[in-house]
Amino acid sequence: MIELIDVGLQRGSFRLPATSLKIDARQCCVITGAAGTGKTTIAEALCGLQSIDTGTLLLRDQVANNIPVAQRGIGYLPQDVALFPNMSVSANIGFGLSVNRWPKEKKRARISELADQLQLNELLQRVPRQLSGGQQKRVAMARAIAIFPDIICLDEPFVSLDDDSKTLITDLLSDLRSKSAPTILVVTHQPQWITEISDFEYRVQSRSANTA
Amino acid sequence: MRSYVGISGFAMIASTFLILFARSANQGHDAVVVLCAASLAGPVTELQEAFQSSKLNADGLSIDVLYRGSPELLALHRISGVGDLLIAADVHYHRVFVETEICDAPMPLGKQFPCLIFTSVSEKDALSILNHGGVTTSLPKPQHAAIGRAVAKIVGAQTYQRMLQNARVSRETVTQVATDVSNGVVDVGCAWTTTPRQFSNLKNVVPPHWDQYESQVGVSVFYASQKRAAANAFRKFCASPAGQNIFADHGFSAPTASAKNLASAPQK
Amino acid sequence: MNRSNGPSANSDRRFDAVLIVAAVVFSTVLLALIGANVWVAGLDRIGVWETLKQTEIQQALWLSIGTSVYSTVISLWVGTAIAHLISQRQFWGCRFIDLLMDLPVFLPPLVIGISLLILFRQTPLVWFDEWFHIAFAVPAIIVAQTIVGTAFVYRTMKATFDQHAGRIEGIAETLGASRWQVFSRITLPASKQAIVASIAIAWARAFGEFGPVLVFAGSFRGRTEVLPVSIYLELNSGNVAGAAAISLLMILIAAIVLLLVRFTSRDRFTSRAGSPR
Repeated sequence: MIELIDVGLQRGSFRLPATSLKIDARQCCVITGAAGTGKTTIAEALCGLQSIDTGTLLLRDQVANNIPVAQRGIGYLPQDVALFPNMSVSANIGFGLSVNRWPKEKKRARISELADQLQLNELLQRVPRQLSGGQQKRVAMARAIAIFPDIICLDEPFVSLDDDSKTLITDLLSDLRSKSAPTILVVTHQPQWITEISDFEYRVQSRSANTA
Repeated sequence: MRSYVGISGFAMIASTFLILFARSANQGHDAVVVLCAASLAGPVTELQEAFQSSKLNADGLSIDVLYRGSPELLALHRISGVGDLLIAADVHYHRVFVETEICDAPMPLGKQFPCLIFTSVSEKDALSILNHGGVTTSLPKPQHAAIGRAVAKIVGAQTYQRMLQNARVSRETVTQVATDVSNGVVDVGCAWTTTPRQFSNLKNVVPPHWDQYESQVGVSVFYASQKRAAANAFRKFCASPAGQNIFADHGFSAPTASAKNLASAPQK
Repeated sequence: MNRSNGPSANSDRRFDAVLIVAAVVFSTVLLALIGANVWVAGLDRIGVWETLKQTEIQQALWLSIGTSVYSTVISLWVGTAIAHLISQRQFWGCRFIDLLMDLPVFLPPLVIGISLLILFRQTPLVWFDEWFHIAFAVPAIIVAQTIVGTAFVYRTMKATFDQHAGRIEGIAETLGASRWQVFSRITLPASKQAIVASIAIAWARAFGEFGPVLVFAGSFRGRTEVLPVSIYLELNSGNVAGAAAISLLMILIAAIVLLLVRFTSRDRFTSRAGSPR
């Protein structure tokens, strides 16, 4: 489903050494590693937010190096959540549904379903700057999975969450796995929260080890 | 996004209406365009109105006038071809135009003389600017204004250059000079004998011999004009008794020279 | 570290005093400039009335508002489009375009006017002018105003687009949004403040545009006469009080519009108070 073959890139002084990784369909992979080793870069390269200098990226068994971001169909939760500041919470969650032209009724139903699952019901009419960090993360999570993507990429989903919220996310993920069963890639430095549902762990080598 | 498009569209339509509304009184492209020396704004504005309502204007022509310094008018016409008629404060400019085959020989309209203008100082003090007086002056530049050229010719180019260096202000048009004097920015300035008519508080004195330099106001038609018949109709009106009366009202003396004398270049 | 007393408090007070003096002195100068117009106009109230009563001045008023709004709308769309392109895409020549867009801001206005006049009347483009009657007509005013306005819109919008650096735009794309959807639903709404600022500055420039209008559109009474040209014409016929009166009229309109802009720029999201944590 997802395969990175010697993928490497360079941005200024930061260099992602050639990385190879394969995740089969419906698997859940956890990427761990020390800070600054390029975990987030891998996630962004997967979504197309970083272009790849060397190597090959395969998505659904196709070379995806040059597939535009919008056509990759990856539900992405960015590390900095990056909610749309000028939209309400429900518009944020429903953005992917709107641009994919879901009918109004279906869209409303999906938003309320997600709001139930992630306990966002009270917040739907607020704007992002009125939310706490944890609430924002949950909104971004709902936004990422709203259109039932078959690949989900979560960058630090547990940072700045209280334990209840963390459980909420893990429950959601295991629920997803049992129902639509997407391919999941989770970047985190707190793997203990997800070991139960993940299939395997990929550890990004520290830079010194690679460049030496 | 839709709201931006909507607001933009509404603003465009509304402003188009405003522009059309603003212009509804003066209809556009077929107007005869007169390039006119800025100092003649008084009489020419009246001529314009009188012509538009006169029976000589059988075709209902409208007249648009561009008031600038004469050299600037020449430049504008050369660059853009704008203008059907030229009214300059001094036929010297017509000669330049005629020699370069830009316009035909001028028809004289009136006569004026250079003078000194002042408000609060005495006549004697005003005259003292000719020999290092203690008064402040605003003087027209010879290369920009007909009056500057005239005075420079009378007192001598070098003397006038010295006067310009001592002047507090040097200006491009006679009206600017008159405004300076009228506002009390300076004590004395050089202008035409007709200039004080536009300003309630200006007095003037003609220094000895200055009246030997007479400036002929003339009107000619540009060869490039595409409305020569209409332009000629307006020119005829300017030279008619009705037009001449307007010039007389503004202090111009009757012209002395005939059109032939003024033109040194061959007629086309 | 108690900052309310000790030597640091004194130096803070001195620092504030310097700032306050600068603010007060400059505000006084600006008010005095307006006051000077009021004073001159007040000395000749009949003259002022006679001036403002002229149909030409009323036409100039409507023409000024009409053309400035028209050119502001064009400037806004063109400037925003170019700013978005340069900010989002790297291509051969984009640095050059970026530099070029600054040109109208740095050039003396007269240069723009004379260049426009030469372009439309001296080059092969003259057929275009013969066809559409641009030079020495109302379109000339709009063209002149738009050129400078677009440059200002470009500067303002590009600064905003660069600041976002496309982060939320990229996220929107991962959700399947096309570039057009991203632009219309994410970029534009997020740039509302910048758009309002662009409108204000482009309109103000257009409303006060004088040099290029004088050269390119002429100063035909009642035909291509916008308010700054009216001031010039009144001044040239020695009517100082009238010129001051029109200046005051322009100040008044500008003040109303800027207040209006301030009022509408208060975003319904940003004005709502604090977070409910």
